Amino acid sequence: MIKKDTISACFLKKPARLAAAVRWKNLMLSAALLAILALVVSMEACRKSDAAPAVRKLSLEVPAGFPPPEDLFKDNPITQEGFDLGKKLFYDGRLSKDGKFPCSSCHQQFAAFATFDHALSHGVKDQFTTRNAPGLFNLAWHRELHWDGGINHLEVQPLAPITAPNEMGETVEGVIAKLNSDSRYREMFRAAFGDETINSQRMLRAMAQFMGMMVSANAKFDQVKQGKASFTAAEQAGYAVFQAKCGSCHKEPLFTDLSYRNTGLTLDPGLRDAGRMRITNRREDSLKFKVPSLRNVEVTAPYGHDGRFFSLGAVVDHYRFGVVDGPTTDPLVKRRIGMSDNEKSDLVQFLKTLTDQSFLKDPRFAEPVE
Amino acid sequence: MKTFRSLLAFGILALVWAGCAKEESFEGDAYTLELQFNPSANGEALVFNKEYVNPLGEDYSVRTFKFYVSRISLLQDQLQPSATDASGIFLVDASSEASKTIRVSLNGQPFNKLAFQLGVDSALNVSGAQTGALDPLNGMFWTWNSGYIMAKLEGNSTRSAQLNNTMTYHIGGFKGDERTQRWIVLDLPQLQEWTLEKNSITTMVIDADIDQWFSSTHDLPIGVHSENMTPGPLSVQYADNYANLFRIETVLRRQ
Repeated sequence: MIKKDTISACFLKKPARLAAAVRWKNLMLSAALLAILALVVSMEACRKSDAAPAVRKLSLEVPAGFPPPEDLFKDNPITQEGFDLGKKLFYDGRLSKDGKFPCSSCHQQFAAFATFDHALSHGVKDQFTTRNAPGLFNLAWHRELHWDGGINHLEVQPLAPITAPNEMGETVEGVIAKLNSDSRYREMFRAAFGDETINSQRMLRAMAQFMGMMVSANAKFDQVKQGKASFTAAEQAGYAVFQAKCGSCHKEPLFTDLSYRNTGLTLDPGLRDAGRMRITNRREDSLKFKVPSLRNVEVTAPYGHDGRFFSLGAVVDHYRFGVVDGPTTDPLVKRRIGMSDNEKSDLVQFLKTLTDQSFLKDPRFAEPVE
Repeated sequence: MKTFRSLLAFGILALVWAGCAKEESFEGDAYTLELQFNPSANGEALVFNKEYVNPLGEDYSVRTFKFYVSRISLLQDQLQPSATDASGIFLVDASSEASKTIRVSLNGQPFNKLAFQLGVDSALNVSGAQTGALDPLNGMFWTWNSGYIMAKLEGNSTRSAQLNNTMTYHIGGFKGDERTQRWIVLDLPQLQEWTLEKNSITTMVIDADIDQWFSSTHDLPIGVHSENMTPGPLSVQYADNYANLFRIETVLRRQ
């Protein structure tokens, strides 16, 4: 309902207070002011009675040279309160069935939010996942997520691990019930979204705010590009190798072109993972997986969709000697990539310049202390 | 000058009032249409876990039957819809009495057909987390291949070779030739013409005949397909079939 009393107070008292002998010009000015005031008041008046508390707006940082991000936050403006809530959820084991597997159990900050030293990650009931956990950064530039691109929006991404029986093993209902029973969450949902309602949309939007804000673009590579640092001779030589032999798929500045490709990996007989074909049902997508970003690649070992390579050297050697030329193998790698041992060594040195220490230690993304 | 100021203040007040009143007056102009969905099998009201026989001679029973209804529209012959409820999306769940009755507000143009979309607009399949009928906790959202299950039928059949003879159909897909949304256009009984009236509710009782799921446009025997839970050509065939489920039984006006 409209608060008519409040409105009359605003509009009838103020003009009365004005001096009686105002000039015509002044009157016009006050009329303009009144109109603005009226607009503000009318917007207030139409709102629901309990006014939403103020939120502190945050904006997504777009590093110099990056393309425009995906339009992920149109209906979900990023705020400090939403971000903080998303962070708490990301680090909260209650999102899993047995309480032991928060998102952060597989996405560790010091590993650029991949799982340190694990080809496959652990889920509830001592189960393994079926794919290598990817690092999480620059997600606002990804329209599709997962190695097979099955997820079409950052907001709905957490539903996959939360409900997968071999990952967090929970139900959406179960998570919402647990959050509802915690007064701290009710308070944080109110701060972020205006009232204490806890639902999956709000939960997922808060998580998207937290994950979407993770931007990594301050590696030595970036500093060299900005003239603030310089490559060693080996790194410089490695960059030349990279540009000639890797850069068309691992395209700068994201170090991925976000496409799906078969890099000539043989089918794992246990996992039998057909990759992109599972999503598109097209034979030509068999064994294709999303090109991973090489940013922070030094800390995200092991490598490949199933983590079959335990070192950067092993990955490079796959392209030199191991590519299997099958029906869908990418034309760019099907004849393998010729490279000397020296070039390989330089390339690995270059790849290490993509490690962004400030991101790995950024307190904004670290586990909240309460 | 004082008069001018008073006029100004009054004008602004009126504007504020009009701005707010817009929302309040919505109910007043409403012509209410109520759709009552009645799931059925073998010509009788559906009873969960009761054995039925489909048109292919196979036994089946139902444990879950849910589908999305959206874009409820009224048509006059083959013309453009005279009224559409563009924003309402409803999940009809055979296990929930309340969900089987849908109410929308439309206008008072004459019509002789009802149309609605079975399923969820493609755009809503790619726009992030939704709420209400589209909340993923309703079990109608694929978490590993983002998109809505437009219709879900689960139960048992001795023709199924699955563990415990289950039959499981989660039908969805919204991209290109995988689309499983279907427009359902239904004639009013006896091709009568109807007009919604103010201060009364028009109720349409709609039969949803599950037998058609297995055999209408396509014959899809349980013995051949006891499970389908991914988008693709088979889902499209089920969608062609579920487009044939519906028939308006009666239309009546209530005060």
